[in-house]
Amino acid sequence: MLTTFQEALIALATDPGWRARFRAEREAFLEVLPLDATERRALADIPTEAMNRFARSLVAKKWQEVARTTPLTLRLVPQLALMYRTWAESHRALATYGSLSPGAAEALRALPALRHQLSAPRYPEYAADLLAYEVLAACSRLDRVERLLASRWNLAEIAADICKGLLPIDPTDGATLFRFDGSGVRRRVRP
Amino acid sequence: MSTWVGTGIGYRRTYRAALGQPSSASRPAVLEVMPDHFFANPSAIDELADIPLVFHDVGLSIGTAPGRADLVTQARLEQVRALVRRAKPLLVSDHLAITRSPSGVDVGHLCPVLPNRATLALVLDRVRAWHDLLELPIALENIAHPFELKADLSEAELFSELVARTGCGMLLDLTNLVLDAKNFGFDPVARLEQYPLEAVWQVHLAGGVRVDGFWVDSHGAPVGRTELDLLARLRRRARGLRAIIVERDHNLPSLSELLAEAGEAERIWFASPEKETICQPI
Repeated sequence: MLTTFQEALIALATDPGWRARFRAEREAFLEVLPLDATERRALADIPTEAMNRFARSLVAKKWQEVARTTPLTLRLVPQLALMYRTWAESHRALATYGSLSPGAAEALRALPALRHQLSAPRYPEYAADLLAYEVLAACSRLDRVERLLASRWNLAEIAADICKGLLPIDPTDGATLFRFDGSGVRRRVRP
Repeated sequence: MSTWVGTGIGYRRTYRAALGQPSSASRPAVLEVMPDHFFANPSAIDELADIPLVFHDVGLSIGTAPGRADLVTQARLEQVRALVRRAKPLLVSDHLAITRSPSGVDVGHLCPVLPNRATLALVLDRVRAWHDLLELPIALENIAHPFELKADLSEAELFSELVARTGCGMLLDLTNLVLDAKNFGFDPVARLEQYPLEAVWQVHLAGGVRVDGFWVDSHGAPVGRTELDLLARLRRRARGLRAIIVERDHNLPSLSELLAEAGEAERIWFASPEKETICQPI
C-alpha cells in the first residue's frame, strides 16, 4: 500500500488532472484507491493550496535548471519560460540516470516540444535551431555523446552575436552540419 | 564516527578555480560535494584531493517503495560508489525523502515520506544495504516540508529508530527545521530536542526566503539568526558532530564571504564551555 500512497502523492504533485479531481471530490477520489486508513487520512489532510504551491515549485525549480542550459535562446525569446512551464505541467518526467545534469536532461526531454513551438512565425526563424544548438552542445559537453544538428543557419555565428548582446536580424543563411561532443562543437558547411 | 573535522561549505563550480589551488589560504576545513556534479567527469574531483570531503546526494530517493524506480536508484548508487572509491569521502548523506515514485515518475525535488512503520522498514533495509555497498557511514537529512504528512510516527521518531537500529547518522539541517517551524507553527527548540542529537554527525545551515507567505529553503541568502541560536543549543548535545556546512546555491557571494559565514558558525560552536567534551573522539 505504501506503493499506492507514493504513486498517488506524486501524481498529485505532478499531474494537474489529479489535483483537479482531488480538489473537486477529495473523499470520493481517495476512496477508490487501495490505501489504508492512515495513508488515506494523510493524503486527505494535505491542504489544496499547499499541494498547488508544491506543484508550482517543482516546475519552477526545473525551469531554473533548464534556463541555465538555454541562456541565449531565452535572451532571444523570453516567452521560452512560459512555454516550458506550460508544457512541463502536463508532461511528467520519468526518472533517468546518466552523466547529464538535471537541467540538461530536462532540456533534452523538452527539446522536441519547445523546438516545435519556437518554429511559429512570430519568433525569429533561427530560434528553434538555436535552442537545439544550445541544448545539444550542453548535453554533449557533459556526457561526451556525439550528437548532430543540421541547420540552414550558421548558429555558431548567431550564438556569438547574442553573447555580445546583438540580436541578428538577417543572419547568414547556409546549410550547416554541427557535430557536438565532449570537446566542443564542430561545423561543416554543406554544399 | 570519531573526531570533529571542521566547518566548511558546499562545493559549487563557481569556486572551482579558487578551491583548486593547493596553496590557497582560503580553503575550508571540509568541503561538501554533490556527487552528480562529477558524474560526467569523475577525474575533476581529484583537484579537491587534499580537502576532507563529505558527499551529499539529492537523488537516491531512499524512501521510494520498490518498483521500476529501483533501476534508477541502483544505477545512481553505482555512480556514487565509483566516486566514493576515487575521492574517499568521510561519509555519504542524502535526504529522508522521495524524489521519484515507485513506477519512476520524477519529482525533481524532495517530497516527504509518510512517517509510518512501512516506511521505517523500507528505509532500514536501504540504509543497511547502502552502507554495505558504499562501505561508508550513511547520514540522512531532515527536509524542509512543503506540507506535513501525519502517520503513526513523528519525523523525529523515524530518525530515532533509524539511528538506533542501523547506526546511521543524522544530517541536521537547522534551516529546514526553522522554516518548518515558521510554516507549520511549532517551537523549533522543542522539536530540536526530539531528534536523536547524539547521532547528529553533520549540520547544514542555509538561507531561506518567504514566497507568497511560505518560507522556502532557497539556499540564496545568508544563514538566519535563529539557526545560529539553535546551533549554540545543539553543541551541548551533539557530541558526535563532525562538520558544519554552509550551503548556498543562488546569489553566490565570493568564496571569502561564504567562508566568513562558515567561520561565524564555527565561532558560535566553539564558544561553548563544553567544547572540550564535544571534540573528544567517541
